[in-house]
Amino acid sequence: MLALAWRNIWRQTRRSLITVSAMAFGAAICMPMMAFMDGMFATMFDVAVTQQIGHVRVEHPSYSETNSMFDTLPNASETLKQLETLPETSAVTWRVHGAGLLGSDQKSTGAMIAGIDPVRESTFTSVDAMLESGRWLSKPNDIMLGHGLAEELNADLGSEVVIMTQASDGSIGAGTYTVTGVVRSGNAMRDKQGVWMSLSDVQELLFLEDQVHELVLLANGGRSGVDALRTSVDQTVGDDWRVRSWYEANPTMAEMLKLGQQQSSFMLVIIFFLAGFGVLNTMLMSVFERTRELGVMMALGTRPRQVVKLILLEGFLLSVLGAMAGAAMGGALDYYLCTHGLNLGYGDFEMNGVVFPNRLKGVFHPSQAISVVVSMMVISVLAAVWPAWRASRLEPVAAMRAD
Amino acid sequence: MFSLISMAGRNLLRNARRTGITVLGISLGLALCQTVYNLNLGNYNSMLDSGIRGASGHVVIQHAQWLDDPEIEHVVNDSTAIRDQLKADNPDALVTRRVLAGGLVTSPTNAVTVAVMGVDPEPEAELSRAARNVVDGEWLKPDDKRGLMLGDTLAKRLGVGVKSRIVVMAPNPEDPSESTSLLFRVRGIFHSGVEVLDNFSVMVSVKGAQPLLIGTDPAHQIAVIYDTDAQTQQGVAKAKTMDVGEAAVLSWKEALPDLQAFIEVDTRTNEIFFMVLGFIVVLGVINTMLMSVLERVREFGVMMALGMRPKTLAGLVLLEGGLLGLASALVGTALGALFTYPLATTGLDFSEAMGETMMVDGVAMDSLMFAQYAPDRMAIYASAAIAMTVLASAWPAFRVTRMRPIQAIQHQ
Repeated sequence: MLALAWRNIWRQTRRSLITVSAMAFGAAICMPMMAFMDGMFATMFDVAVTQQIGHVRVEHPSYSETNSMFDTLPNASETLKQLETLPETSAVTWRVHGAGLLGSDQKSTGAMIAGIDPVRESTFTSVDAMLESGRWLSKPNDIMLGHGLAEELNADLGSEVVIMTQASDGSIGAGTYTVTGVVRSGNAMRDKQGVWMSLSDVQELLFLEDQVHELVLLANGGRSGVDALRTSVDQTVGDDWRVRSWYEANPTMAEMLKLGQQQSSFMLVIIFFLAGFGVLNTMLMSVFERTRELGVMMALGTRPRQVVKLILLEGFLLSVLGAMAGAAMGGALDYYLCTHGLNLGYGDFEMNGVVFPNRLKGVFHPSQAISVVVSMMVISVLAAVWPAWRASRLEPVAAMRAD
Repeated sequence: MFSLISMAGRNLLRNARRTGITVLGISLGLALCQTVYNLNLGNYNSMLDSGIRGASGHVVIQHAQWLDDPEIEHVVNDSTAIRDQLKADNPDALVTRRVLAGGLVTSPTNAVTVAVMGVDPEPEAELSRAARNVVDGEWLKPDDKRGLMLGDTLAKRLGVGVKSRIVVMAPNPEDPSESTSLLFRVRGIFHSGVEVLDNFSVMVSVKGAQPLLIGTDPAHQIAVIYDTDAQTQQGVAKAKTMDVGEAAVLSWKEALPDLQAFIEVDTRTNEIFFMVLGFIVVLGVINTMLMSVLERVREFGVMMALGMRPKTLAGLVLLEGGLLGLASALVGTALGALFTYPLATTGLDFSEAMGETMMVDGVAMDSLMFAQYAPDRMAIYASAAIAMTVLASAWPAFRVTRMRPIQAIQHQ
């Protein structure tokens, strides 16, 4: 029956080819569009979650509301050691946050201070991608500035800056630091106002010995391991501290990712719905053309059910051809998009605090290709249902007399 | 000619089901494009509106370098005089001044880096999201030199309430390597729904913020906001002739280049998507028309044998395509208008995914989006649908001109 269906679709080569190319074209466009959207969401996730929130985070119960310097986690190094041994985690880091007045020899301005562990932090973010110029923190009194801040202060690499702030004991904390790097993190606010210093320097400046504001963890196995990690962190640190997964800490981001998925599916359905009309028309025509032939087949003993199967099989074969051609073209476009990226010409485009690079690269997941191919097949087989049903209802005698 | 049209119409109805499916396919595609455009138009307009009210103005006077380099020393001097002249020129419009500085706000429990925004309280009461959403205390009084407004999140972080005293530390304008401290009193707390406002900004009067600037009666922007397009056009033309020394007079189009670029690129991206949809639909139309021609080879042969010119027959096929397109354009536009209706009245709520407001290129907009009917675009897309259908009939029509009557009549 497969052979029969195959021969049938090639009886009208041109018609079949046009139908197949409509489907293939749809698939070839859907794949890069999905890759592009996934690329956008990957950038957002990277900036907002991986770099900042982490997959799972531990903090003082009121820190997220107050952001107060005093809401710290004491005895941080002990907890860090415990968390590090958890099998569910792939990386742990700790940070101290503060604010102060930052001055170069010409100017001064307010700055957000992040005290980071240079070695641990580098497993959370790509150091090379983040550094616009200079080098990563390595020595005491090193400081990195967001590129907007560096520009505002006219602070070049190697120049000295002074930080003045209120320390936790009420005294004025001050220190002199050497600019070693300029950072472009993608976080709009931090790039404009942020400085990065080593954890120990900031602890000293703010008088917060062995205290941190957040402990941030990445899950083994990426996003799918988040829930397991959260449970096990919860058990480790006890009730005094607040443990949250990234989607609890930033529900808006979680919703946005979900919305993005829905948008992709919606687009897919629209495109294949329209392509489905083509399949419907083609199959309907091909059934009408063959009324006599189908009548003869049924008169010779072919069951209506087998006729249905034959027509559905023809629709299926069309979709397989469309899927293969589409996946091949889409794959080629995907490859270009994922390696070269696409310049939209926005310049650096900022949305909800995330700065997207000028040339945005797509991200390819096999699931994109699979969902494109599967939805195309489902829709074109569905489009063949009505013609198949009509064919099965033919009366052999009347059908043979049709012209 | 008329008989040809009625013939084309009758031909289409001979296979009513096939024609119906094709019309449905085209019109759904068309309706979708129109609806998406209408939704985007509503979006773009609300974005521009927020941008104009919050960041520029229909007319804005600012330092010539402010646009590229919004540094604190890029001020416009004698801002009150300029504002008063603009007010006199535009009695119906809102005229406001803005100052944008940075500083460190300290309270007994915390220190936070903030943007210090100086505004004219009176006009800003109508313009700013913050002024319209005061949750505690009240909005600044005109010329209140010591009053300060802040967002609810920031208030919580600083542990302050209405009537609390707040110190803003900022660079000393005379000598930026030194710092200066200004004392303010909290007059009110707002919840604007915009994260940067609620969390990282304080608002004071222009008078209150001027000690952070250098110059004589300085401000960063003096903006005019009109009610209608006609007022805007007149106002821009008139303001452009004003003598404001070294400062620049910009229209909203010039003052918001990033937003304009975003809208342009977004429109272009969507049009590519529309073209893809169109192409898929066109392939379906080609198939339909081709089949309908191939079915009628004998009929065309007979007509040619009876003296019809091949050209006339090709015209007939194109006409069939045109009628098909026309029907689809009408049905599609009706559907497009129908789909747009709920989006224009109840709107589309993105607040779960975007928060209360969303920030695009520094402009805050509501995450409840409303579509806006764009009759001109809907007409353009409808005409494009007709044109594409006619174009899709070109190949089948061309095939008709190549038929030879004798073979055609003998065709099975």
